Amino acid sequence: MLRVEEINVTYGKAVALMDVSLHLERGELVTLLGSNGAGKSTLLKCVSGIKPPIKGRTIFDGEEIQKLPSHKIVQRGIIHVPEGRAVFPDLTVEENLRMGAFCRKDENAVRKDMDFVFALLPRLQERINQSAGTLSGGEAQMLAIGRGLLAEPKLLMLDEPSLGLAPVLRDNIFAVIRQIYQEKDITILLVEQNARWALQVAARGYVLENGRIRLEDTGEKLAANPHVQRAYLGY
Amino acid sequence: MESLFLQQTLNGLIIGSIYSLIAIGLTMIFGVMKISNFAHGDYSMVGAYTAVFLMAWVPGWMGWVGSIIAAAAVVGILGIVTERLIFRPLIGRWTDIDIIMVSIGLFILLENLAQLFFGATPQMISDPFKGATVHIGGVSTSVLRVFCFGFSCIAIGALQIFLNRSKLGVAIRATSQNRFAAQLMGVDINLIYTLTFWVGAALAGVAGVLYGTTFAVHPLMGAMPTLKAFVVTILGGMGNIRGAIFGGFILGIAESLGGNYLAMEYQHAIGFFIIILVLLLRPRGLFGAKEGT
Ligand SMILES: Nc1ncnc2c1ncn2[C@@H]1O[C@H](COP(=O)(O)OP(=O)(O)OP(=O)(O)O)[C@@H](O)[C@H]1O
Ligand SMILES: [Mg+2]
Repeated sequence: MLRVEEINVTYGKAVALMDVSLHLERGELVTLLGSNGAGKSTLLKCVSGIKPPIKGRTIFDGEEIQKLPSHKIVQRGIIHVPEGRAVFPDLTVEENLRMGAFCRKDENAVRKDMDFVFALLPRLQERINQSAGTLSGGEAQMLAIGRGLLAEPKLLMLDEPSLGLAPVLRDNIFAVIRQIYQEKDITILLVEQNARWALQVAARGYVLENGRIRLEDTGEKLAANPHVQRAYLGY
Repeated sequence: MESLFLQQTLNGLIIGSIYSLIAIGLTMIFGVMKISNFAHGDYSMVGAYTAVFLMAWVPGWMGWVGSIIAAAAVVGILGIVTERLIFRPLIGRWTDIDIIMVSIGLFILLENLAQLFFGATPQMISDPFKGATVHIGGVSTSVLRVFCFGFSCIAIGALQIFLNRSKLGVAIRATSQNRFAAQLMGVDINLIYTLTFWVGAALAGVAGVLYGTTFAVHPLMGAMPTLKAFVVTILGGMGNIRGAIFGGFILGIAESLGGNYLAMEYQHAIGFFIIILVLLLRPRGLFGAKEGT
C-alpha cells in the first residue's frame, strides 16, 4: 500500500533521513521505533507531503506521491495525526472534527463517521461545543485522533499518541487505537514511545536510528532482539 | 454636556467601524501568514481613488454604492496580486523583519505610483446625500455617516458569518491557529493565503471609500489607516479577528472622546498612547488569549 524507497530528507545542511526505505501492506499495523531526534516525525512529514524528500520516492497505491502537495496526499487517504496533538485551540470540538472532514463532500458519510467517533470517544461528545484549547491533554489527544478518523483514512499515521499522558489515559488511548484497527478497514503506521506496547500490537516494526533504518522485523522478533531490549525496552 | 458626550461617542462609533474594517484584514493576514503588511492602508487609498473616479462618472448615491462594490473588486484583485507576486515567494524563506521591510517598500511604491497617476492634489469623494443630516435625541450626524456605519457593520457581519459558518472560513481560522495542522487536514495553504489577502484587501478597499468621504483623498492618505489598523491589531491581539472588531470601536471612541475632553491636537496620539499601555500591561492584546499558537 505504501512504499518508501531510499528517501533522503534534510533541514538546511542537516540530514534528518538517509536512504530510508519501508513498506506497509494493506491492513497492516506497523510500528516505527527510535529515540528522540531519530527522524520519526520527519518520516511522517515526508510521507504526508509537509517535508518532501530531496531524493527517493514514496509510492502509495502504486502511484508516486512524493512530489504532491500535502492536500493532494490527504485526498488520497493518507492521514497524519501529528505529535503533540496540534488541535485548533480556538475552534470548538465540533469545528475541529469538521476540519478533519475538510476534503470530504458526502455529508451523510461524514455524519456516520462523526457518530462512530462519538461512540468511540464519548468524552468528545460531552465537550462538543467547548473550545479545544480548554481540553485536558488526554481529551486533546482523543480529539486529534477523532479528527484524523473523520478524514476517512486509508493509511493512518499516528505520531506518539501517548506522549505526556498519565498511565491510565495512556492505556485508554492504546485501547482506542486497538479498537480503531479492529473495526475499520485501515492501515496504521504507529510511532510510539512505549515500545513494549507498540511491539505487542504491531505485526511488524522498524527501528530508526540517526536517520537510518537500523532494524526491520516482526514485532515479536524485535521484542526479543537484544539491541531493542537494551535501547527501547529498558532491560 | 451629556449630549456632547453622546455626540462624541456616536462619532467615535462611526469612525471606529471603519477602523475595524481596515484592521480585520490586517489581523487576518497576520494570523494566517504571519506577515505585518505596512502597505495595508494603501489598499484603502486605492479604494478611495476608485470611488473618486467612478463618482466622476456616476454621481449621487448610485455612484457611491457602486464605488463600494467596485472598490471591493479592484482592491481585492490588488490584494491577490500583491500576495502572489510579492509575499508568497518570500514566506518561509525570508525572516519576518525582511518581509516587513518589503511591505514598507510596497507602501512607498504604491504611494509613488498613485502620485504619478493621480497627481498630488487632494480630492474629495462628493457627498451623495448632499450634506443631509439626521437628529436623534440631542445628537446629530450626517446621513452619509449613518450609511458609512451601516456599510461597515454589514461588511463586518458578513465576514463573521463567512468565518464562522462556511467551510473555507473555518479553514482560515484553523490555519491562523495552526498552519501545520491545517495542512494535515487537507487544506490547500496557498489557496488560504490568496483568499485571506483577497478578503482582507477588499475590506480595506471598502473602508477606503468610507474613510475618503470623511477625509481628503490623496496619494499619501494610506499611512494613517495603516497606523490606526496596527494600533487596533495590537490592542485586540495580533491575529485575533474579534479583537480587531472591538479594538476598532474602542480606538474610535477613545480618539473621539479624548479629542474632545483633552485637546483636538492629541487625537491621533491617543491611539499610540493606548499601544504603549497595552504593550506594557497586556502584550497579547485585550482579546489575545490563545490565538496564534
Ligand atoms: N524544523 C526543523 N528544522 C531543523 N531541524 C529539524 C527540524 N525538525 C526536526 N529537525 C531535526 O531533524 C532530526 C529528526 O527530528 P524528528 O523530529 O524527525 O525526530 P523524532 O524521531 O520525531 O524525535 P522525537 O522522538 O523527539 O519526536 C532531529 O535532529 C531534529 O533536530
Ligand atoms: Mg517526533
